[in-house]
Amino acid sequence: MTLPVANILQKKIRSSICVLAVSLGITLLLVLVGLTKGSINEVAERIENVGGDIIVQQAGATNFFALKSGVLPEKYRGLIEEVQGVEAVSPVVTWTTTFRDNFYVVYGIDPDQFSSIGGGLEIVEGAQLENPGYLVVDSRMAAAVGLAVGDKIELLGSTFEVAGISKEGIGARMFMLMSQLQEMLHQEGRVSLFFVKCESPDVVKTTALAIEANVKGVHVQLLENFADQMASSMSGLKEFIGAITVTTLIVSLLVILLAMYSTIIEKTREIGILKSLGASKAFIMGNIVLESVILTVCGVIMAFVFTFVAVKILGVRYPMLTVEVTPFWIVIGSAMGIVGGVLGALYPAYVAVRQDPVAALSYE
Amino acid sequence: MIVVKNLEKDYKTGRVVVHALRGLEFEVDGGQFASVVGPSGCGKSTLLYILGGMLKASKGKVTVGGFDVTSAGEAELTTYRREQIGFVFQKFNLISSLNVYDNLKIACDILGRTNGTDDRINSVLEIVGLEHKRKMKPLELSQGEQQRVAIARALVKQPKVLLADEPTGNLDSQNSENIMRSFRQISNTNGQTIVMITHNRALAAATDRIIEMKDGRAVAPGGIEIAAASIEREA
Repeated sequence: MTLPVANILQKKIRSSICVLAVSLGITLLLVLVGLTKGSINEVAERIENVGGDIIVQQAGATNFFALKSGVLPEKYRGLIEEVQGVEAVSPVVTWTTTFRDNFYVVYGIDPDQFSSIGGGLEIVEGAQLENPGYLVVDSRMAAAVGLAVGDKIELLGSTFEVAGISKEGIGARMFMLMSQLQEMLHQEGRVSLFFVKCESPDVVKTTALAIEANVKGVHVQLLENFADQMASSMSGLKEFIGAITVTTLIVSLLVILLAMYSTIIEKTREIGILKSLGASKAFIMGNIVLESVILTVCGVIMAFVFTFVAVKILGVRYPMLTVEVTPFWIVIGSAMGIVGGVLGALYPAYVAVRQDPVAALSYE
Repeated sequence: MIVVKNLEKDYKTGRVVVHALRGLEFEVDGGQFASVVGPSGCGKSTLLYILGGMLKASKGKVTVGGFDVTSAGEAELTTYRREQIGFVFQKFNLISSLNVYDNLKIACDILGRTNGTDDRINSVLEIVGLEHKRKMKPLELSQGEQQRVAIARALVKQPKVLLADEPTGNLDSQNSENIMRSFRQISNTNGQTIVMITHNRALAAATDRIIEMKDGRAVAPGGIEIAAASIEREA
């Protein structure tokens, strides 16, 4: 341990650059994956938190509700309610809008029907949604853009007053009466989807199949594990995350390879000295690999600090973004950095142990 | 202790073949302090590296304490260097990133003997008079002190044979004399066999015997016995 540590401390700039490069690779992995997964999971959790068991959409629709508005007849609510096992149904119109340069999803709901699914909106300030011309925003959006009860905002070409602020984490960021949103979108009698609550968890699957069989042109989706379903439906997401992971591995490997190779060249005479002392190949390789492991472990620790800082900065600068750095990805990021470092050290270590001891001692 | 028979070593550089050693023969008894003298390029360092198991001979046989150096494999030679040989080089060859203590400790680590490491290191540092500079880095020491650290590093392994390649080549006369005193003390008290390469005939005269080389051969086969009457020996 003494020799690797002494070598690292002797070449402080080289070691610092090495640690920095490894840490940036891991930070890139953790933040990008955290951002991607965090955003998807946050949306999925909000949808799950509405409280239903099933979502009914038009056949062929995606999991990203905001990409469409009314496409299903509202009267399907009656048909779905008649299916055995269904306890409650809440139609929702979804729409996307921009507000103060940010992208938001708006839910048009019938407050009573929405509450029948899972308890509805929990108002933390102001009043429930009751009348046209009013909307409810969630607490995260209110805090991010500085909205308070009674504020008036322009949305979809109309002026709305904030009636209340709901607890974040349910459905969308903004809610208005479904009838008003349908009218504004010229989609009277049409809805985007239905949230369905079943009589018991045991009948969810059979009820879903029964809805598909009884209501033509619809597609049902279970809300269980909705985040995973959303992620898997995103074309290229796995490949994107895989590419970042492999990039981290390669960056770590190349940085350590370069650093350790240049070290081996610099330390040629030292390797000759170790050989003259009778150091075995395992001893020399072990010291080189240990030096790279120390550097990469420092890189991993620094990456945790950088990631923490990056997440804090993103949270302040972009409060609507969710970055989810999970223990699983911390382990993956750390492993990529350390595995890359060890792999990067193997070739220089191999070069070192193959050096002729006399030639190494003569190296200037 | 050391038996060298018909030793040859050729270096090939492209089509050019250099005969560094051409049938060298001599013997050194256990506990003797021998010196090898001769002009530059006569094969002294080549001989030392072959004795130390760092270089393979082209022909001939070398045994050290019964171990056949010339027929041993790489792994055996590594063990031989680790357990039986201590090197002292002209350029000291200390590890610059390690302090005096750690330069000695790494030799113990390589040897794999962990018991009593501290005591052994302190003891050899006392022999070379550097116990008060154990925390200093090599570049913070004078050249004479660096060479004494190198000797201490060789001694801490308690090798059977000490091989010194021009150990006073970079030192002034005062430091050279100190180093020679150290070698003499080691030879007299520890009974270790020492083979020292030197250009300095005055220093060679202070050893038990001189092996004079020229053109890869010993000028007088078997070496030249020297009367033990120098100032250094008396010291």
